[in-house]
Amino acid sequence: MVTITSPPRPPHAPAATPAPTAPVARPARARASELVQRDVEPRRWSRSNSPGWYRVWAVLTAATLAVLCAVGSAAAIRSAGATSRIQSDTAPALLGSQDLFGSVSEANAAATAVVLSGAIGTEDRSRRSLYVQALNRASAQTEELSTLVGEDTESRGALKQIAVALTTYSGHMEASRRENALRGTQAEAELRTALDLASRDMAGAVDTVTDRSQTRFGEQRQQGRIITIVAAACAAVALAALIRLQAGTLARSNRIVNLPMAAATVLVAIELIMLGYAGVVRTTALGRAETDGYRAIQATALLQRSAFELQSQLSLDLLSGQTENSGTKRLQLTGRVNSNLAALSAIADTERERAAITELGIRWDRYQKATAPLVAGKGAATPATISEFQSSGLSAFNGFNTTIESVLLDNRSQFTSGVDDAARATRWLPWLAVIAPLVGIVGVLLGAQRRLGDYK
Amino acid sequence: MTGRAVRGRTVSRRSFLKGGLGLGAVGALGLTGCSFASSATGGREDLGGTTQLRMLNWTDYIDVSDDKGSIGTIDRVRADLGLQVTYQEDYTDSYEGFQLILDRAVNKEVPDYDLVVPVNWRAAQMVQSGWAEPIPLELVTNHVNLDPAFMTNTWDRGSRFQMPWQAGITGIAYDPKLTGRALTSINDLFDVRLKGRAGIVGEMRESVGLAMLANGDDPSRPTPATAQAGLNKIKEAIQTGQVIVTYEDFVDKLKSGELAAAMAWSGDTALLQADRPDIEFLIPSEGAVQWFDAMVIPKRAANVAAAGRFMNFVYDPANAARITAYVGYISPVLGVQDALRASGPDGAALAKNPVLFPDAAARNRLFTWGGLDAETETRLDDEFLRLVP
Repeated sequence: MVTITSPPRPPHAPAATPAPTAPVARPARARASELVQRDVEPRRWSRSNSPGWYRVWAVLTAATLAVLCAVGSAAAIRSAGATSRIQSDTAPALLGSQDLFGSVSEANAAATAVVLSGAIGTEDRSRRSLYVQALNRASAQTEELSTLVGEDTESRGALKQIAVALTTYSGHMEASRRENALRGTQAEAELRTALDLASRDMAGAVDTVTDRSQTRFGEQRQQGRIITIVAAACAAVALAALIRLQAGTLARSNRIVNLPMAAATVLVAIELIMLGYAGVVRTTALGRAETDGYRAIQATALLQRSAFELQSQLSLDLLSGQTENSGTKRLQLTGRVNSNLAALSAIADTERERAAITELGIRWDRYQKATAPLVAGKGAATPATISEFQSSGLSAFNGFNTTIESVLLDNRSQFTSGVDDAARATRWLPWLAVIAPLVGIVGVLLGAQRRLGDYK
Repeated sequence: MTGRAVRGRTVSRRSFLKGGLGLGAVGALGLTGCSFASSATGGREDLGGTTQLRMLNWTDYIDVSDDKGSIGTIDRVRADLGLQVTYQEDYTDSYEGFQLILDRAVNKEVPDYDLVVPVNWRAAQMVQSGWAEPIPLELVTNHVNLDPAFMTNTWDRGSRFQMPWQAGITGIAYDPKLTGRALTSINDLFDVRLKGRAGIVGEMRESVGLAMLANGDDPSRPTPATAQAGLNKIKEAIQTGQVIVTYEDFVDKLKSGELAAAMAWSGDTALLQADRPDIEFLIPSEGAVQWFDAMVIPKRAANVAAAGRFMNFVYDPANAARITAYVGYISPVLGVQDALRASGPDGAALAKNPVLFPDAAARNRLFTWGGLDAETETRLDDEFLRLVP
């Protein structure tokens, strides 16, 4: 307790005579008050008395909260910003590059089937439509990717290369189609040039975009992690300071709770919990998006790509009548499909996914059975063989491919839902990181002021 | 929207049976079906806590119960799967019938049904609007029996949210004596020599789809422009009196000679051919429109597992063959033709029917309406409905 002392009296001085009239008494009391003030002033910031203790701790705590406000908001803005960029740009770019992969492969497979059907007189209109759709999709995806990769020069360069290659590619495809219709000799050569362009130039450029997007995804996942830990440490220190202030207040007064300080303590505790929660949710959700979603998307896209390659190869072989010569290549491609299927099966983590992959396996077997007799024959493919391929082979392939697409869509949902969860968890963080410490500072200062007011 | 029935399925389906094409096969399949069913479903599965199934379907679109001495499919579902099936045949058309599903879907309420069977474009609307649950693939292992021809819809690639129930073809039926020649093209309907004696169906997606094919466009991948061009063709033909609009009455009009040729539904034409074998059903050189009704589990359905188990049951080829024999439409289930062949002479006869099992060449010329955005579809619907009586 603070003892308010009487005004000092000089030694041997006579006792003060009370003032004869009331107006005189008032200035005397005022003087006494001033003297008390003068006595306390030098000790205002001393921790040895309670007001000093309150002031020192209040200022220290407020300073800690100010630091927390600065560091916490920087961490939150960085973390939320990185997550938001993943959601708006990087994740769509990752998916877009896989889609572009698929579109080009589908265009290849459809175009070879069109040329093949044209070789026996009637161009397969639905395949032609698939080819045009896939090509248009690839162009649109290239444009969309350009807006998503930002200023990444490597990706921009690759996308420019893809755009040019797509134009050249479609030119060769059209030339092949025209030659085919005119029964020209260059149909197959033009087709092969287009396919080479797709597998060499375009696939390489798509890989570059994918790699760059993956790198950005990894970097953005890490962004804000260290500063968030520092912010959490600051929040812990601020919380400790607040608790100490509360404990000191309790020890030095009969008041049980200083409400403004208690409110500040609760707010900072909430911020600490939320920082931790958001960090954990963000890390877990993005991790889940990557492991459950993106890896599965990659595996599915690889499976689809290898299946399309095999399909293109088979069409080419039937067209050139060289089914026996490229048997080894087809065997290799079949092996790739099988291993990609096994890889996809290994990362399936729900009953639904496993069921879909089982279906994929059965449909793949059907496709192989449907096409096995076609490649068993030697020499040039007959119109009957080609017709059979057009009906049963392509039908079985459709079943396989559309099942892949449905698996891909499921995986995309998992991926985007993980990214969305991460974005949701961090979206409000910048606001909390600023508001909680500021309100905390006000609470601490107000609480200390109140306490000091109690003394006065 | 109109309350008119879009397709007179009740008449055609039952009449098809009266035509003597299906009943014997149903009986025969009743015997073989049970053994197939038990092997395919692997005995009783875990019901996931529910044995209730509330299903809404078109009238007379499955053999519900005892029919000519064989146990109906719904009864066998009850017995084999242990499901308590409430089967309602109140889905009368794509407008008023669909209203039974629509309100609760829009209001995000628990639906009255666990499984519904709208036509493909309505199923597309449900899928695109988020009103459909994903199919529980882990319970529907027979999803693998779905014919790939039904898996390429742009609105549900791989059929993740719906499974086709039965399908039909809208092509051209004609009387060669009245046309004086064999028809080959959709454009024959717009030939001035058939003015006033040609019919189109009063269903926008089928008429416009065929007109799009006549224009060289693909109705399975429509754009607002190509669909509008198709509609304009129909509009002009109606306004100039070149064609008249029909529904299931095209059968009577062909029979009476009022019409020489008409856009026609395959099932109804099969019935007509039983009486008038001289009537031809044509899949035109440009192609024909294939439609299908699809099983959809409405969003927030209470008994998804039960619906999944039902879907699995009817996608077993033997069970599906039994339904095909009863309803007389094209089955989307692989293996149905073989199951019919194995069921006896009646089934074998059905298995040869080109209306039920179009060959590869015909199938390559079938197009299913691909769907447009809701606003464009509504606009086209409204414009079309203003043209038809």
